[in-house]
Amino acid sequence: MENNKRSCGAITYISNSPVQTFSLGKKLGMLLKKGDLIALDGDLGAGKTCLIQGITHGLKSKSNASSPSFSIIKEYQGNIPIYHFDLYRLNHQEEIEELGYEEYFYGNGITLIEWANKIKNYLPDELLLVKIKMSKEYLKRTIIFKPIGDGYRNLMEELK
Amino acid sequence: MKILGIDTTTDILSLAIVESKKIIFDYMVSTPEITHSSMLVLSLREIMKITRVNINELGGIAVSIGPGSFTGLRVGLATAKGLAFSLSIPIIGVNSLDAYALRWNELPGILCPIIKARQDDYYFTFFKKEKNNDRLIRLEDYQCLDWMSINRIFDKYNEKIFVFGEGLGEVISDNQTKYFKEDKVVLVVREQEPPGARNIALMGQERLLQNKEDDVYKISPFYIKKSAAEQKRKELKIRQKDINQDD
Amino acid sequence: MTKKIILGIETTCDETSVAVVENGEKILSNIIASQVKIHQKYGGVVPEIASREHMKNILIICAEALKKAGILLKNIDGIAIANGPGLKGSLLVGLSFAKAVSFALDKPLIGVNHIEGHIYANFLVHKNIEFPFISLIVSGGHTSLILVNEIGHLKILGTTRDDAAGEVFDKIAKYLNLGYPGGPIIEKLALKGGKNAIIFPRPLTKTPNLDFSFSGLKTAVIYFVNEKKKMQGELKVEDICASFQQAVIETLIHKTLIATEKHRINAIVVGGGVAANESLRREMLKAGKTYNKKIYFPSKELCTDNAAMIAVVGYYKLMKGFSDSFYLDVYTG
Repeated sequence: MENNKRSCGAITYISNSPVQTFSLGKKLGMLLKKGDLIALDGDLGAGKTCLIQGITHGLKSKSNASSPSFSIIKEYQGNIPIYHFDLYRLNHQEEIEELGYEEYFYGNGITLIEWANKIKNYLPDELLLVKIKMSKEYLKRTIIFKPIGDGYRNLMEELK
Repeated sequence: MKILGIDTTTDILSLAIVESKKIIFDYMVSTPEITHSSMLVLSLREIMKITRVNINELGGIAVSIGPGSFTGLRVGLATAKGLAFSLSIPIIGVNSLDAYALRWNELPGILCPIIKARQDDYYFTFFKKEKNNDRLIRLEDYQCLDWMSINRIFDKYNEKIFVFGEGLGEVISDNQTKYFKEDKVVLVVREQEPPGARNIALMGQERLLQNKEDDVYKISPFYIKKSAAEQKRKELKIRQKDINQDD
Repeated sequence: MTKKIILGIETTCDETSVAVVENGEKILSNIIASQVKIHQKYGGVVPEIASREHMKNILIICAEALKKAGILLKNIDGIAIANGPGLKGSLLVGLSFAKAVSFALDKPLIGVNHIEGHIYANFLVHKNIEFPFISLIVSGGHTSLILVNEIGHLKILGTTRDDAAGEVFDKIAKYLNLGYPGGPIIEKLALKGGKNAIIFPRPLTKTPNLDFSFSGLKTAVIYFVNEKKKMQGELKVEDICASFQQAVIETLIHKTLIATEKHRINAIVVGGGVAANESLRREMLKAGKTYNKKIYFPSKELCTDNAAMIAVVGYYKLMKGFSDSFYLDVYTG
């Protein structure tokens, strides 16, 4: 897996299979701590859930992170509570208010949000942005991590 | 007539039964590990047993409707609806900020209850006692703003302003206290206290006497939408979160 | 024998539903918020992904259910509440309401697993289902194989590792701009297409393991569509729908049959929203004949989320002497 650094603290990885995406997620998961929030974007099939499965594995979750598209929020017990959001079905930003998002985002666990671009107004000031891009090659993905805030920039240093 | 008060505005669960000026019980419990959803009815049943109040003696249910904790308010309100419907008794929704003001209404000045809302923001409003009687008048809209913006509103008033409430703990711990005028604004720091079911019940009782109960089918939590100014502030911060932009 | 009337409440996700069921088999009422023109009376009721709607709906739907059943709340014998799995905010509204009614009227409270509800929806339609059986529950939120030895005991044999089958139907339909809800639309278009026109992968069918995985199939369809668009080839939507649906159905049936062989069981009880799919029903029944298995499906209305199925489980649990205390809480997964 290749990676290279951009000047704003962003890191790009190339993944050539779901297994690599999972493994990258696992490495990241082992570095996360309470209060961390990761916002993921990428088209259908890009591998957001796959990356999150790796992350929850890295956090030693007993449950497998399956897709919460229907239930919107799934909660897992790992070393730290994990809140897995999937905003695919959200029609308006404001709907997030109906879900008690503050208690998750600013609570005692780690928040992972798929389709996070749907609630731009509600994301915290500091977070880790992840964008997964598909390519012509069936299994190849470009995964870009962009940390916003010192804490997350340090996290990226540890990930490298 | 006995009125049951339920307060789940904050993490602290509060239950009370009042009868005119008599407080039959006023109960508060803080169990961060155990949620309201598993404590509320359980606690209610036990206290009513201990105080020998039969469920059929209740004449009305008063419940906090917020603003406040998302899940807490839902549990309180859905419970109150279930009780009111089953017993065919009236329900009264009480605003949590109003109930907070009642708790501190002996303070000599403008009352500013605050409840923690979203990141950096607080639910709040201002009250003042009417001359010659104890009635509280609300001076501002119910709002949700950050501490600096709240301070700008303080400037509108010449009197002493007393700030209290569950949000105060956050204000102090976040070191935002340096952003206010110490001679004018007084932070009333006590143990973390919710508005309290007693106040909810007393306010409910008063509304019931005026026949101002709520429609049990329509009563719902009190929301304060993000203001246009808040939206704007957020939008400026959002630009940096566009992953296609370089810093 | 005295009649036992159970009030069932379902608020696990989008739908608010309340039902009154007699003796675990006769539906006196089964009111589902999205299907009722309540808005004329009380203001807009549209299934939203929000527990705010549950707060608005719960009492209205409950009152309607009692009215239709001709039953007074004080005359019910128990309250069955779906307390998970689902969305926490939604679950809390139903549970809190149920507890309050239980306390106020001193009636037993029974917590019910939503997935178990889907299984027992079949008991409202079929009177002769014998234990033990294998159950396949397929919906937008769940795809699981379950071993059922008796009421109240579920052993999950396998579940989806990523997307639920119903979810993939909806996502493919959206990707193809077919509209909502995806399942029925794909099913309809599939009738005009070739189910073997395109061979999409049948994920995990080569392993004896009973788990499912549909995200690979989803990605395969997406890539197929992209390639076609790039080649500026004609996109035969009906063929894509039929072939995709076939891949899902074959996978579901294949795994279910493995489960029955593994556990030497000859009865298969299907449930969940996707169980309303005619092609699945037809192919499953065919497989049942071929392999000598008894196949049970609920009526189509009882495939989607509803409170009657919750009331059924509640009834059987109550008859076994089981009820919950007020410590009962919700669970999300």
